[in-house]
Amino acid sequence: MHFQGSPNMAEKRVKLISSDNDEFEVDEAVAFESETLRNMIQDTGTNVPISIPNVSSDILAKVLEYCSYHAETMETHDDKPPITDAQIREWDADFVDVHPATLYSLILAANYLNIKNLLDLICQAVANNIRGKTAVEIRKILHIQDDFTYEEEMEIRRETKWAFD
Amino acid sequence: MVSGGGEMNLGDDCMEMDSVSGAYSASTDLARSLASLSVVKQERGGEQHREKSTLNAHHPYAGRMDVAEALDEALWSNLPEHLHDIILAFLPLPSFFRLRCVCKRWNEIVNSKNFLSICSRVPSQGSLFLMFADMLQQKCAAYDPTSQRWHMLPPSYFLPCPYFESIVVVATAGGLLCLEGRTGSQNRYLSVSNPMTRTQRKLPPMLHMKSPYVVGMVMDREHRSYKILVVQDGESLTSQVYDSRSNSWYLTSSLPSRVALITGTAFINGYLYSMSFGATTGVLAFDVNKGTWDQVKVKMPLALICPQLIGHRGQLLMVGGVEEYGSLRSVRLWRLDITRSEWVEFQCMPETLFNRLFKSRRHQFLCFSHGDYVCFTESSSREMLMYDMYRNAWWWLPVCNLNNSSEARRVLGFSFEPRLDALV
Repeated sequence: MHFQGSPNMAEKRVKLISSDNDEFEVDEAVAFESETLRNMIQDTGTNVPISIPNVSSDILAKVLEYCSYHAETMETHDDKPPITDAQIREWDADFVDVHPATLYSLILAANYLNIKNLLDLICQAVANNIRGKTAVEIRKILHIQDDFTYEEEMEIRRETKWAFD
Repeated sequence: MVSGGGEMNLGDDCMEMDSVSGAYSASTDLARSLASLSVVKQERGGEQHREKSTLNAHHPYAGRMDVAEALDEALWSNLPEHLHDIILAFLPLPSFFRLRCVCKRWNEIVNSKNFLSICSRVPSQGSLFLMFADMLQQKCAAYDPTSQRWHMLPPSYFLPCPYFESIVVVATAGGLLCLEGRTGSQNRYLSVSNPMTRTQRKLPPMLHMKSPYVVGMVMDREHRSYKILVVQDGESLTSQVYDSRSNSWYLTSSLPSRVALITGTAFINGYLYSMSFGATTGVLAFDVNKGTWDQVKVKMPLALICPQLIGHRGQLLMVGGVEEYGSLRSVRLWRLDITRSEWVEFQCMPETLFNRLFKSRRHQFLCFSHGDYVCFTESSSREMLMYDMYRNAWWWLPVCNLNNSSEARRVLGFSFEPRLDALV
């Protein structure tokens, strides 16, 4: 698989290898959206392909689509008007409008690759979805142990009563 | 932020603004800042068609499947703990407080520096409009326009003192409230609080002025600091600023004009704009970094009453009433057009809504604004009307059960953005 991420002749290209051994080639600026890749490239240079053992090719393609778009928003072109914040917000909203399983894989990939804006974007999407859930539902979904005594929990509920109205 | 007829601070005698007649030329910095305002306005035109489609940006899953239910529980349960923290930081605050009883770690997370630094990446945690307090029931009615619900908060969140009849909120910014209290007849003091974390700082005494009043407050999110502007009017307008970084007050340059300001300011591009009263009504801009004043050259609409400035998405707007034969005829919104030095009307309260709000009296009104929202109320009426400037929608606030109840009802009338990461 070959990923076309805004090719630019003047720029260095970086080779990335997914967990299922697909190779991706992107501009250095695209890879630099990831702190993890930035550190790796600064250590080893762009000659050696970088393997990303815990991200599959479909998820890596999606992550690079994000990085590529956001690297592009930083560039200025004389012939094109700059991309507005509203356009970026709209693009981002479409980007996270995916199947929940994909979203889950993306959150882990963004975490591993350390792409803060992508991680925030996905966490915001998850937060929007769990905002109406009860504490009992959340404990079940995230497998969190209820470590309060009955009295302690009642005390907290009293303190935060306004939020339950 | 409060405005309205009762809130203006006029000097001793009748006012004269001797140099209003075109003699003011905005300084270069101000001109540049204002020029960028009009650029924002031009861009907006092109964004109109996109605005609708980004409405769902807050709800990317609106109408689609439910992440939590559609996802395999086993999958979610493997999510590393530090990712829980980021999700928590992005929750609306009422949801965040509801979920504090999930486990001890979630309950205590507000004390974690790392968590608060994640919170500071969240662009907005919504708006709350604090409308009134009921002293008998010990409840403050706060309206959240995003969820369109009332929350009944304990007054101790906002007025952290047992004698809070003598405390008023005089300014808000970036999640903080500036409170003015009195101990005894002459001792005034200012304090700053974050109602969400229930932290407070008492400010050192301000520099001596005969009759100082707080005009506005500005939050610097980047440096996690804030400034408070206090003025005294009279022969000239003198001012002092409190800077939280040095925890001290300093005098700034003054404006040699007889003007008084209305509390209620708009902060845009480094300038704190406020409405001035004198022989005529005008707009003043205070450069927060340099501590200098400028008069904004702009023609005011005729027969204007209860004007209030609003900073909205980088633009300077004004809400106000238009009077005819001593009676309020309409409530309008204007946008500053700096190239033409005038206010351009872009919205008028629909007549049916106007007639209902001003059923008994057509005199003055109060309005509070935060984010995209402006809330209108009339003192003799219990009705409250909300306008969403971004979506261009009007609605009546639902009846809140404190609204009609007791004599202990006290009008608060301020709006703010609740934030966990705002440091006092």
